[in-house]
Amino acid sequence: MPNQPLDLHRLVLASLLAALIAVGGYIVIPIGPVPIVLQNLFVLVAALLLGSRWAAASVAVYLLAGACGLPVFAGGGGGLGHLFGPRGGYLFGFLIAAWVVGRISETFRQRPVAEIIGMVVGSLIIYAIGVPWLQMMFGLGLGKALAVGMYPFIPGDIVKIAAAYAIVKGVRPLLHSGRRPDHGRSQAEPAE
Amino acid sequence: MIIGFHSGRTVVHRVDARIKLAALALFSLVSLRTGFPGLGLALAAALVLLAAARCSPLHCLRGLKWYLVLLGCIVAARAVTTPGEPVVAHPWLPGTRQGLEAGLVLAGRLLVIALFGLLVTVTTRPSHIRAAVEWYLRPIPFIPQQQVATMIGLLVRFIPVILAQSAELDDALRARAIEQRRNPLRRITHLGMPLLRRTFVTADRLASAMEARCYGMERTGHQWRTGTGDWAALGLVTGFCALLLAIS
Repeated sequence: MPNQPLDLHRLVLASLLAALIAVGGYIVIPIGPVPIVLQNLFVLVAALLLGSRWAAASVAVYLLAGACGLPVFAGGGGGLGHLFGPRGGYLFGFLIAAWVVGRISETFRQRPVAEIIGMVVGSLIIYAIGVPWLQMMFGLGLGKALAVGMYPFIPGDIVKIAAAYAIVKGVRPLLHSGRRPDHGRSQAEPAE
Repeated sequence: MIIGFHSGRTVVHRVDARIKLAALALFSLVSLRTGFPGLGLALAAALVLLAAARCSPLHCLRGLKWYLVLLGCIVAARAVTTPGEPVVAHPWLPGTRQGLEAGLVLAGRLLVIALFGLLVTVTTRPSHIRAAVEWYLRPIPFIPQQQVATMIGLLVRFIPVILAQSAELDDALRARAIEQRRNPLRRITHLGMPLLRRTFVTADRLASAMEARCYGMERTGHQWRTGTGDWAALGLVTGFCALLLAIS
């Protein structure tokens, strides 16, 4: 195959993960101003599968699509109102978390311990941006903002990190772009 | 329920997608400075335009029901936390008048922006939104606008694929008596893992198919046709935003 500057596999995969982040937002368990959703699970999966650059691109495209009014945010909403609404901090947190987790995974060459620590750091980044934003929007004190915007989600986040790790382990071998080029030929591709 | 594009031939449908996006952005900025009279006017305009686009405003509000719950939480939180004179002298209802007003203004702004966003989504084809985004990104350096547009197009098309595959797998699992399983975690893994493996393989095959067809970034652009109606719409939106700024 000629040198193709465009990495189509990663581009399609990044779009799929952006779509999964959107679908993860449709499954809403409302427990207060910030509902439980599966979005951050797929943000973590994107970071580990795609690496820092493409994971950030995937989340950025998701945010851009939402900002343009496509119904991709939690509960099937869209528009700038959602992006700059009470949950906006979490949405921007996804972008930074995706890049950081991807970067950690790349730096430590996908070592399991590093990936799990990376996901914990990523989840904390999401709260570090989301909770102060929520505090500003609702005019709450820090303690109350943490009580509605962080503490209820910690058990779920531990489950999500475990699930993200299991998903990545299960999916990585299936992907064309996840394989190393030297030992990644499938039987359908003849050796050149 | 998820609200998407509804085809139609109304005035709102026919406006250029670039103008709709610009209007949405302009309106989002202006609404940050509006008070009660401006918000009332904007809410009325949003409902009238939704009706003009043949989309029942009631149906839209039902689509936004979780968002409305969230807005209710904002009003309640603001009313309780802002200091001021109490609305009702009762120890069980600690809301203040100033807090209630601040909360209502904030919730009103978010609701109006959400309704206008919904109006754009309901009346604009996703492919037009994609082309408009591409058009706006063109002057910004270091952003591969065609890649971004392709990704948005794929994102919009992947969502129904994922939902359809999930429904299909769910049927298959039911046929195999998944409901007999008591453990919910088991049920989720039985549905989730095959679903994800399937969607990832679908995406990988799609990428291979695109590669085989020499998909590149040299694409034929969208043909824009901007008529007097579009310029009139832009003028109307600008005038409306100026009016909102003037009365607040």
